[in-house]
Amino acid sequence: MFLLPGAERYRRVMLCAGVIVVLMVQALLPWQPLEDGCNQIFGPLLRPLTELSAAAAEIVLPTAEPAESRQALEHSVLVEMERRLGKPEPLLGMEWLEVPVLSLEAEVGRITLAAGSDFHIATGQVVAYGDRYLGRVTEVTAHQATVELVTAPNVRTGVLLSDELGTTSQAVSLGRGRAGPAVLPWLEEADHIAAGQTLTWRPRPLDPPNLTAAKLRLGVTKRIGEEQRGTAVWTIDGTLPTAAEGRLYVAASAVGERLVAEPLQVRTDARRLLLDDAVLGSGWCAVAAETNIKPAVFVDQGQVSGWCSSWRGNWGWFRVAAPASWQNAAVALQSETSSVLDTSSWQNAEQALPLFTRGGQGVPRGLWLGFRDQPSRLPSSQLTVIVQADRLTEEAP
Amino acid sequence: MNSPRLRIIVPVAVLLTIFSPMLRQLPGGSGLPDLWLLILLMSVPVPAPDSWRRPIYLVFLFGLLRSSVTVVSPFVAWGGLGAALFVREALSRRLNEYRFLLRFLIGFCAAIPLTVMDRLVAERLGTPMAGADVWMRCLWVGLLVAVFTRPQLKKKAFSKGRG
Repeated sequence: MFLLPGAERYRRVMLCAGVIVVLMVQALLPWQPLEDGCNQIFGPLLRPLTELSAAAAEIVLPTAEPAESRQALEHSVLVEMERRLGKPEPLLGMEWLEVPVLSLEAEVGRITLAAGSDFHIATGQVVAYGDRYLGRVTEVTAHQATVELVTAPNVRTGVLLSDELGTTSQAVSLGRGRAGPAVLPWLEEADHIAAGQTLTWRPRPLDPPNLTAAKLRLGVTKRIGEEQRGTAVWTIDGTLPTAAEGRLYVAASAVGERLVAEPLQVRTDARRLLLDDAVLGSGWCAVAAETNIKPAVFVDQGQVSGWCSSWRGNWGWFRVAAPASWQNAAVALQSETSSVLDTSSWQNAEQALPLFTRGGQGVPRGLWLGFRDQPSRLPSSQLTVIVQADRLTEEAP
Repeated sequence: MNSPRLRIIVPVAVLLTIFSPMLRQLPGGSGLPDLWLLILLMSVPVPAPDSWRRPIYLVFLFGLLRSSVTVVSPFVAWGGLGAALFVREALSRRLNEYRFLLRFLIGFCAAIPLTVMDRLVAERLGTPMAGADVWMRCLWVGLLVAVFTRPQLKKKAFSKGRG
């Protein structure tokens, strides 16, 4: 095709503008596969330059090794407390599968578990925490399962009422979701019910018979509404245990190799490269791992000090953050009340509580972050990088 | 205009890349201009040569060098550096390069795409860049471009010369 010089120039300008626009769109709204592919290709090539820059920085502005942290808590403290509080009594011929919670939607009565058919979880299984009956598994995917709580809309649960004399009668509860606590629309002996009676879970005919021995509680009876207007109803008074947002227990009569779905962690030694970003400044740290894994966080002297923002083959950039910066990705442990607090609770607490990772997105739950008011710490030259093993499996081709 | 030779530009760019994190650590370092953008604007002549091979090569190379010392994606660098050349080319065809203020304006405008993208990416990554730093980076680029791209200098620094 013959083009005049002016037309040719115009064509090239349009082409160039198009390429620049595409690059800018990719820069601002990154398509992750392209970003990852680019990092995989060019990252290892650029590492020598990063190391050279780090070496120069170390010669010109040597960085002192940070003092050893004396307040580091064992990462398992949170996990141990959740287990101590939450594991139900053992049952004959059954096992309680321990599954971490991925997300909790208490107002609609739904919990998402961080394990699914990969951990042999099936629909209909009973979910409990301590001596509390919470609900049943209603949906299972490869790596997740959904639990509908007693309070979820239209969920009917068999209930056993027992009074102080030990007399029992049957009832059925009906969840109402956001409308309020579950109500008891059907009572076998409506005349004998009183406020404060203990409500125990009643199995279905096809549930394993041994589950009855667990005597799982739902709460106590409570009357709400107005008698004169005819709106009074019996409800179940029982809130979800706070620590239940960490891990739950699923009753299973057939189990796989593992009883604890705590995803395995992959840890590897790593080395600090650069302490500052040449464009964004401080608060960033380049880290090179010994093995070729894509880590989620790095641990410095037992304390998680940053999360991975960009991984480039065998090295990457981590955001160095203070414990309080983790916000929704952190939970606090209040040992006085033996409870686990979520973000809004620990941010408003008077004392600076110890924070741990909440888990998810490749970050294991319960890793020590530090106390709420601690500043971010300068990373040491030798670090450890961590990722959950299932994350690696997901990303494998 | 004779442009600097690659055998000079590339080592200078690599050297600046190595020391760039330290420059950013200096007091007031967060307001310093983007070094790769500066070298690019000084290495590519105005008006752009008929062959775009060299500018494209430099944009690609500087983008890679930049991404070796920053968490910011190389796509930001490629897009920003390319846009800087594009903006400068468009403006320099319309503005008089013999006037300092106009040269400053060209350099300032050329720095905007990259700096703004850096700021947006910084916000997305959770380390927002101060507005004053964004202004300073653009002003620095404008100033340095205005000083070092005087028409009188075109045949001097780093040039091949005429034999």
